[in-house]
Amino acid sequence: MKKIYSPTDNPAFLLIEEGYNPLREREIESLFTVGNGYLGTRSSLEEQGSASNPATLVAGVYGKTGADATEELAVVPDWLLTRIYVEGEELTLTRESLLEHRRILDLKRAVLIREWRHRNEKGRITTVKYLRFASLADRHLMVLKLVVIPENYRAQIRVETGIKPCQKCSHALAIIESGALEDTGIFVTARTRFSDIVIAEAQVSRFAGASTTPDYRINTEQSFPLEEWLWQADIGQSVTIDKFVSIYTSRDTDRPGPAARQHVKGLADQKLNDILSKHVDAWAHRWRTSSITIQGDPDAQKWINFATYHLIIAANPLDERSSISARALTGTVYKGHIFWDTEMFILPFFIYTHPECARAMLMYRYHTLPAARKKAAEMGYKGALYAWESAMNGDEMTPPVVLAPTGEIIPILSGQLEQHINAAVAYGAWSYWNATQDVDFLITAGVEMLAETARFWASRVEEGDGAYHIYDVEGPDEYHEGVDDNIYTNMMAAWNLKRAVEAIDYVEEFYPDVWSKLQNNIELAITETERWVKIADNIYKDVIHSGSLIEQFDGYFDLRDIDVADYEPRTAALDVILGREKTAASQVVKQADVVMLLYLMEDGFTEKMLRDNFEYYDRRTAHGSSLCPSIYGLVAARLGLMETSMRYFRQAGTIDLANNMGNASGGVHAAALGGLWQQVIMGFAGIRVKKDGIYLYPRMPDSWNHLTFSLRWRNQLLHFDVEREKYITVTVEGDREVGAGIYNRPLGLLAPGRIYRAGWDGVTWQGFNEQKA
Amino acid sequence: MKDKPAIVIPLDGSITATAALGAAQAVANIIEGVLHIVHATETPLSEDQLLKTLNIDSLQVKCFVLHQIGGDAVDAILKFALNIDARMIVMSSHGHTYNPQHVVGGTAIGIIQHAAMPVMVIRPGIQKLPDVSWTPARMLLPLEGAPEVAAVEQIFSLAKLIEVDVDVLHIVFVGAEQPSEAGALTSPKYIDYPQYDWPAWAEEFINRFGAHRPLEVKLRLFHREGRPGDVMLEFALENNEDLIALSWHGHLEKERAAVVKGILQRTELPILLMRSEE
Repeated sequence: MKKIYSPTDNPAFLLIEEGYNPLREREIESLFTVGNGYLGTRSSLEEQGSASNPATLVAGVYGKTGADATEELAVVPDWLLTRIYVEGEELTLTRESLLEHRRILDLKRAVLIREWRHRNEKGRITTVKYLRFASLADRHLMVLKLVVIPENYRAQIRVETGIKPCQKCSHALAIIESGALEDTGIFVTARTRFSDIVIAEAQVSRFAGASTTPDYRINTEQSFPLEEWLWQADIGQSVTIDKFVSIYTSRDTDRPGPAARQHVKGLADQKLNDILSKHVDAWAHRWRTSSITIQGDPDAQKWINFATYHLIIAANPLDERSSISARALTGTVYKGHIFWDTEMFILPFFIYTHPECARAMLMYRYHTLPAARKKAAEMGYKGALYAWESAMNGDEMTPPVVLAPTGEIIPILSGQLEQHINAAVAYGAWSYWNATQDVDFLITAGVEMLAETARFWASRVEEGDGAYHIYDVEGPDEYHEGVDDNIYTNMMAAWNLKRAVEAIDYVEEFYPDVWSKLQNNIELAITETERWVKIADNIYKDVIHSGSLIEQFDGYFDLRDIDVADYEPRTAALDVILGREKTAASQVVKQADVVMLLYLMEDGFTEKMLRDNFEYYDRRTAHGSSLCPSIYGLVAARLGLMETSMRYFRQAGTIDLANNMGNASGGVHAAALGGLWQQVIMGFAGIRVKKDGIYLYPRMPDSWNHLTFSLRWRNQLLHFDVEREKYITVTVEGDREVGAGIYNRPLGLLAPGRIYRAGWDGVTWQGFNEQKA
Repeated sequence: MKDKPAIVIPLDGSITATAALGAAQAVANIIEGVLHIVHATETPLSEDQLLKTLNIDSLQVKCFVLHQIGGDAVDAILKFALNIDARMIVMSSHGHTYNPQHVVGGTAIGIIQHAAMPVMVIRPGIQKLPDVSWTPARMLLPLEGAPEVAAVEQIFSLAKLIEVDVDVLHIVFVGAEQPSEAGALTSPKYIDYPQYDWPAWAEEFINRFGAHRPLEVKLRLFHREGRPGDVMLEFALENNEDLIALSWHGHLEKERAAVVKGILQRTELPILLMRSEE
């Protein structure tokens, strides 16, 4: 293939799988997913082997397998399906026939390349190359390029390529119609069950390279349509088949079928080079603002590139009616459900690199406010309580129990008790507003979200002993359910209440008409907001013990103490080793709870409190969640505990990429990837975002010589260049001054087009000074 | 007889060795195969003499053949089993040098460490020795998650042959090291959302290690915590398993195969050993 089809030169942007290991196939499919935020396609073999679990998932397209079933992202018909026959014998990946096989995911250009050399029993060697991508320049377009070369024989070769409904998937959709398009090409139309979303896929393919004209036909004899190309191949002759597939749904247009057909028809005359170039350019644009470069640690560079790639392909700035689920669009394990993972772990990446996506994600929460209000009312509270697990409309999707292979029936109380999700949504909304000053968002959606979530907290607390308590709740640490005064929940609730008041004050002052209308709509009285301030100021947080230790919830320190290190090594989660009862009766913590507060509310603690509490909870944290290691690593970095921080960075960076754990089989861990980004930016680079600007205090691992990254801030683009314990150089791209400074030093105003530098004096970072160009 | 599947049982003339005869006969009958009784000797005997020497009072198999083979007993038995493409070797853990202090006898050590096919080992001291009417229904297959697919597939094939269902048991414990091989799958370390992570893990575990099992073999998956040997034996008892299958690396030296040795020493059930490629 030409150079344009060759992978990028930089190995830090290449994920390569040599050979073929059917045991790992489902993991590889997740890791090598291509996507564009509108959809994601797992990197299944085009011909679909026995180990394949192919899936293309379209954001927001949920269906159900039965009336009482939970909503799940529907697996749309597989657009990749392509099979190659040499003299009637299909080429399949078997140990005996495999000469070479590799898949290369080019993270920079977001294309997947597959190279395969096959030898059949008669000694015929065929070279097969595939290139596929889901266009970022045209989100409804998927492309598959196939090159077939008979190396040492002449024979008849047939390629059939079509769109095939998924056989192995749960059946959340049904095929309505399929067949041939008017001139050339095929189509498949499906409809999700119980939600009636129509999905239309249309395909055309083009043939080039044979010395004779190929036979072409459309085969509708099977249960799915195929385009077939048949030709007499000469030795060494390279034949190319380019396949273009368009997909539209009734979420995009009332007439998805015609839209898909029209779209794909319009591509017939376009050159693949041009289509690919536009896609690559779109990616170059995204990498420009999202790229992090780390000098001195190739593994870390690859991990962060992988994380960045998967975050970019997860989000669509144009779709306000869906958001990013815990496994994004790379797998079906979590059914496409949306958790607090989204706002706390994934959203920050977008707020600071692509705020348009962040806005769309937050608007999803705004559009699901009705369901949140309903949930609050059903539970006897006011305002809105967001679903712990959300899908299409924001209804609660959390199942009540699960049967574990341990034989235990585990009740799942998160749907009822994990209410800190409200604060997560509020945190996301406020952080976005602070970073962008997007007034339209605030007055259209943000202030209402903040007000209604605050209202919930105000109705949730109970007054007693001069304080406001939240009883019978569950914090991020899911090993302890139904606890009282979980400090994380309490403090985030207080934060939520205060931000709501601030937002209301702002809108009331600057947009009184808007506020007046909203106030009437949600019937909010002034006395309510006054009470919110009182609650926030008096929420129970009298949890400091021994001078510095924060009690995670009421009675936590009375539980049996435990050192997690005593239970290493192990291959299982600690609550499985100990059993649920013993775990709940101990101080073992599943994931960052108090430590999450040390990150989010750093300024509310003394240095001693930060250090003492990190060390205390670190010893007692089992890291039973993939969300955990990066947050611990982030806080450790801020405390200068670099060895600990790097250990957690490695752990977080390999959650999906390790080849001996199988973690990614059902999809990548999107929150872990977002957490990894936060560990680099908020941890190692030491970024702190405040109302007045951005502060930083980099503390980098010994092996990192240089770190560069960019952040979007209030419509300006800041470029950071950190030389370890030497210089921090910042430039501003835009048209306005930006408040930026070294953490714990005065903020400066940095003007666009100028260079600012802070030096390291051997002990600490000094303030920024302007440099001569 | 040539087309019939073959079961091999080595006998050395001791009563101890005949502890496995009932199981061997039963398996041969189930699979409608031929039971090959093998005796390593340098002194050829007549059939009657052989039957007497081997303490075989009566044989209740439909089809059997007696063989006398020369040379080193272990080598000769292994070579014989390979030549006739035996589906399984069934043997007592001990022979005429029976010492209950030893986990297995000398010949058994050689056979189980080097056999290319599954070896069913019967401990002579178990309370209920399988007899010719033995009809196993359920086999316990502990799997630690290392990618030993070929051995596991052979065990499943055997399960189909002897018409048993399989209970796969994954055991976790403190002290377990993560297998380093690509494709390993152990208990999920991260259970972000148990309502999805557990079913997903179970499905992936079965996909990896049971994908090619014959459809006739029903499979259940279990997950337990504890010391592996203890857990296997307890589980087998609680769930009325008829035999325990172990995929292992084939080395019984000191410091290795602690679990296999422990099971062989304490089991009340036949143990089916299948060597995996290391």
